[in-house]
Amino acid sequence: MLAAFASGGMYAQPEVTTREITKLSPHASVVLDRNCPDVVQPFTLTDNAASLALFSAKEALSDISNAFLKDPAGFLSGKRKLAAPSTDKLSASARLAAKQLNWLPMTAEVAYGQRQHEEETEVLARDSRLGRQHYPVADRMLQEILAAVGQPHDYRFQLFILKSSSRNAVARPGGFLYIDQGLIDDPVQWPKAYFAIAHEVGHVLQRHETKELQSNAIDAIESKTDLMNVVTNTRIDPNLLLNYVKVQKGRFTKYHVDQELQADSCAVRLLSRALPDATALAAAVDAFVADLPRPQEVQTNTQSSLADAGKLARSVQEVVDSPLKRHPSNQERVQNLRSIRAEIRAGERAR
Amino acid sequence: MRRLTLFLALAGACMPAMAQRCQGLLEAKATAPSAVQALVTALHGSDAACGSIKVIVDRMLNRKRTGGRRLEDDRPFDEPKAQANLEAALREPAVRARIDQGRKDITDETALLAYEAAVFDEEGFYGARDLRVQQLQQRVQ
Repeated sequence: MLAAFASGGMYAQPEVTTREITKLSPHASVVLDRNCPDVVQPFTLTDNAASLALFSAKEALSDISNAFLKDPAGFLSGKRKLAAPSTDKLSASARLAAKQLNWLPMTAEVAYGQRQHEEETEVLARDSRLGRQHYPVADRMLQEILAAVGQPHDYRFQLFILKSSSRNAVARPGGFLYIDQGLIDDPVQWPKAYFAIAHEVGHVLQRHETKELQSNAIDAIESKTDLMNVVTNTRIDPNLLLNYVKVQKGRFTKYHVDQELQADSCAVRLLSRALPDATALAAAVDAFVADLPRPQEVQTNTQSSLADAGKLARSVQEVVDSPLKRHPSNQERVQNLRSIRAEIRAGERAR
Repeated sequence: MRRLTLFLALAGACMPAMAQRCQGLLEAKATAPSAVQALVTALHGSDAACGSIKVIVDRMLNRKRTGGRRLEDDRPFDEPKAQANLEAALREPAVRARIDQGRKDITDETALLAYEAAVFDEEGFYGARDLRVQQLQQRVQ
């Protein structure tokens, strides 16, 4: 759990905002509150290096006290000496702490998203005949949803329609959103389109993909000096960070169940503000649920046969590379949606 | 060499009007199997849009979209739905006219499939496009 330190606290410095890191997780993508109480993940942390330094200092102090407590007589007799407070080697806990901070500057995030965007070949051109027909509809939906965010954020969202008759949507870092034309060209699909766009906006504002990027960068950094270097200098030179990540491996597309559920919750929160009434909200959520792919419809990587060693090897590789790549089950999603809608209704009644 | 020249000529012909959307064709040259390169070459001079040819090439090369958070898992190809979409496309007079013209002008069956896929992409009949791409993949394997 990240807890903001009030200014004037024990570690507070003038004009330095730090966050105390009290809980570590092996994954940057751990969701602390699935119900999406804040649609926008705090991003105003301007001095993450200070937070990290604070964590490292506390960790070093803790190491010293632990050593002392293990053998107080040894230290008091002078037989044992206190070790230097820290080495340059990056500890596992410092690495985990860094994963929880939102220190990636917007310029780096946008550059990363832009790089992925340039590889997207199926974007419907805005100036094409179909583009002129469909973009106004999609743009209006996005505008309505963004108007409901109600909190400041640094994103400049860009929506693209993909030349696909499917009914899916994608968010990439930096505010790049994609929606299949199949959700826009048929008015029957518009309630689901609202949900889809709101869900993807939720992913971006929660910085889900960005945290994965940070996580991968941190995994590639070996020393504290390098880590502090990256954390403090990415603002000046985003490429410094991008040099650390293995963009081509596509390892940032891990679908974390909790993040998906959180994005669903964010979508419901946003739509409860963006849509005119409860009936429209129910229609959007119900359209999404009704169109969820049934388990037998979902594409799997189990097509390899034992006779085909090449395919089998590829499947194994996919499992190794993407151990967390899955969406929640339909049942999990429905239960989560039910829960968040109940919470919103209760909040409205209380007002 | 002649194939490479034609390939570059195609990419050049697309520019500058479609320059941005056709950038990937040059990249495809480096990695595409010769069968795919030949198809792109064959479409040179047709009325298929560069952007649509690029989509067909990418799909034939099974290029996956990179990164991102998807709303839900992708569904597998639905052939009956694609077939229905193909029939709907051919009922559209403007699309039908382009397809008929292609059938007159292009003699190579594989190239014709690629052309039709590109036309369906441009006209927004994506199920029909994917059906043709599937047929193309089966042919060039």
